[in-house]
Amino acid sequence: MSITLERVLYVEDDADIRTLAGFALKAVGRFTLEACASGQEALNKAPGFAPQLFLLDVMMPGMDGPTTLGRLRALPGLGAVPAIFMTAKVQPQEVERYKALGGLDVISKPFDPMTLSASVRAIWERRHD
Amino acid sequence: MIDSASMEAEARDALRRMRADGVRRLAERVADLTTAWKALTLRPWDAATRAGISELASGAHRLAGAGGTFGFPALSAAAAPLELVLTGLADSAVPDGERVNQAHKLVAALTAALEAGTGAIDEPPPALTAPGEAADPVLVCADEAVQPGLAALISNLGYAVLRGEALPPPEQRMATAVLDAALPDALRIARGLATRCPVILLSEETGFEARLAAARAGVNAIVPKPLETNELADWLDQFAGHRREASLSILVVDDDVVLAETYAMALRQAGMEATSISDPSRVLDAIASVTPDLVLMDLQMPDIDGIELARVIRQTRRHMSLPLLFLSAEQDAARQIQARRLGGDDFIVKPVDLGRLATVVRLRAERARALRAIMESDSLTGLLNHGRFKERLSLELQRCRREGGIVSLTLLDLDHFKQINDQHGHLMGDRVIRSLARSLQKRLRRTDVIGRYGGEEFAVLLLGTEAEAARAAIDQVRRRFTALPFETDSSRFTVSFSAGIASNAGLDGPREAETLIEAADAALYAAKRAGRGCTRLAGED
Repeated sequence: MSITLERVLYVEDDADIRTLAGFALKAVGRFTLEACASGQEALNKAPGFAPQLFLLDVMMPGMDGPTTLGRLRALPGLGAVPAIFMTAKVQPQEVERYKALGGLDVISKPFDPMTLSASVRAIWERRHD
Repeated sequence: MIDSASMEAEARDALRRMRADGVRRLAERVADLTTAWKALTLRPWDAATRAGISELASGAHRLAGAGGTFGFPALSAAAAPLELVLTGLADSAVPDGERVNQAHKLVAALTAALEAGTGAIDEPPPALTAPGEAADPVLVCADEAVQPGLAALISNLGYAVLRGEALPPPEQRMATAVLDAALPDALRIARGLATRCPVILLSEETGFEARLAAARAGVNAIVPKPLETNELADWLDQFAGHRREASLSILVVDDDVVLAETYAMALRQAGMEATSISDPSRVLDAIASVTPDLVLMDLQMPDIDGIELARVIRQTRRHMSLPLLFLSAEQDAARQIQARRLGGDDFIVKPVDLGRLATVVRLRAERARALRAIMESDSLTGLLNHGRFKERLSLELQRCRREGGIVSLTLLDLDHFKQINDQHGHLMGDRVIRSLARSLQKRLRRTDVIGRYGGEEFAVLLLGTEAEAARAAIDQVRRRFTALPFETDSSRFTVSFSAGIASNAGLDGPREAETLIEAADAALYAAKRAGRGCTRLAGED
């Protein structure tokens, strides 16, 4: 049976987007959320937070989403945590590329804050199929 | 239990406030970026300046993301290329005049985009349909007793259907509404729907007065009763936007990697698919792999210039009608005429206005595509004609040989078509043919190649598809098509088709296309012999 998703680690470099999506995930989706401004911050916070899911912006200065994911998964106990990427204008072949990089799926930006949580949950539920 | 409706309303409110804050912050950020850019342009070109520009590039990147999120797509459209230009500039050892110019324009475009605004921060941003997510449904407002089978018919045409006899709740999204004028209060319902989606009215009254009343209620189209399926289908296609057209594909050739990618990005922001190359000698390979609708190229390149490149492209017959657009800093009229003589279609003067670039490229490419579609298509169905289909087949088989890959060819033939013509007349026969063409277009992927192969015979090439999977796809089309009723004043009938499928697995050699066609044809013949209305694979008994 599927385990309910509660703990989400979210990484997004833009403060305004982080606030909006963070609120949407907490208030609408009822998730327990750790929102980070960079890949480095995520690496610092992830071990103590024990996330069930990573939600990662792809394009970030410094460490991008796929790199962050690789390093997060190298941390003890986090090797099997599923991830969803967020990025602008996804073409079908790019979605495949992000899946190959270890993402369950891709959520395209701009996102609708009212339905963001539902999208995250739908992808989470599908992963057991 | 907490009242979830009021909780949602609260969340919506909070989100609205946050969005408003985000928009205010966008304005501040654009102002900050503009000021910082101006200050940097006054400084000498040194490491600190370049570091500052690199910092601005990051700012532009974040703006591109935030612009979309807070409902200013035009802001993103300027900020995304700005990031690229600034990154390129930060890497230059000397200040690069063209990039500085580009950056100037793009920075100004940020403010313009902000001022143009959206005014609609209450609305969620235009949500891109996520992969796998269904398109909006067609609302069918009709009394099933009065208009039986209407919902089923629209569903058979390939649309998701939502049924109702009154206005659906405000949050329900609809692609279009089909409304039966026989419903009580039909025009009042039309008025309520018209602000939300296009409305198609099915009506027995089609006189001027009735049309005027409908127009005043906001109705976009009237389809007379008794219903003509094709006419309804044409309107649904137009409104519900099952746009079959793949997006325009543009190839950009510029020896400057950053500029090439900047142009490509501006085109992508405008909804086109753009591929950029910086090595002109790769142009033929690139044309073969991306089959562009238009090539945009720099006229002055160091090793091979644009005119030479145009000459090379035009040496191939198939590329004779491919539009070529030059980017040129050149004011030299004589050289421009020389370029035109070699088939350059237009010039865009550098430094390029990226907004105008996208417009010019789109217009040219759309027109070229429309002309090509007319030249290559069958006049009744709009599908590829026999000759063009075989050409595409050869091309795809070549591509498979080069890159490895599988395709399945299906030949399909309407069953007992002659009887339809004899019993119901040729107009009905044409209608059946158009319906099958439409079913194929709707049910198959837009990358699949569909042609009208002969009178009542069609050919379909399914790319990247094994024979068994092709059978599943074709059988799905068959089930829907066979369920589609055709009506005349006196009768109602359905039509079936037979299909034969062969894949290129194990095929090789120069007569590959012919061999594949023969195999599919033999399978089609086997399907006919097995009693029609079925599919056979090559080599299957």
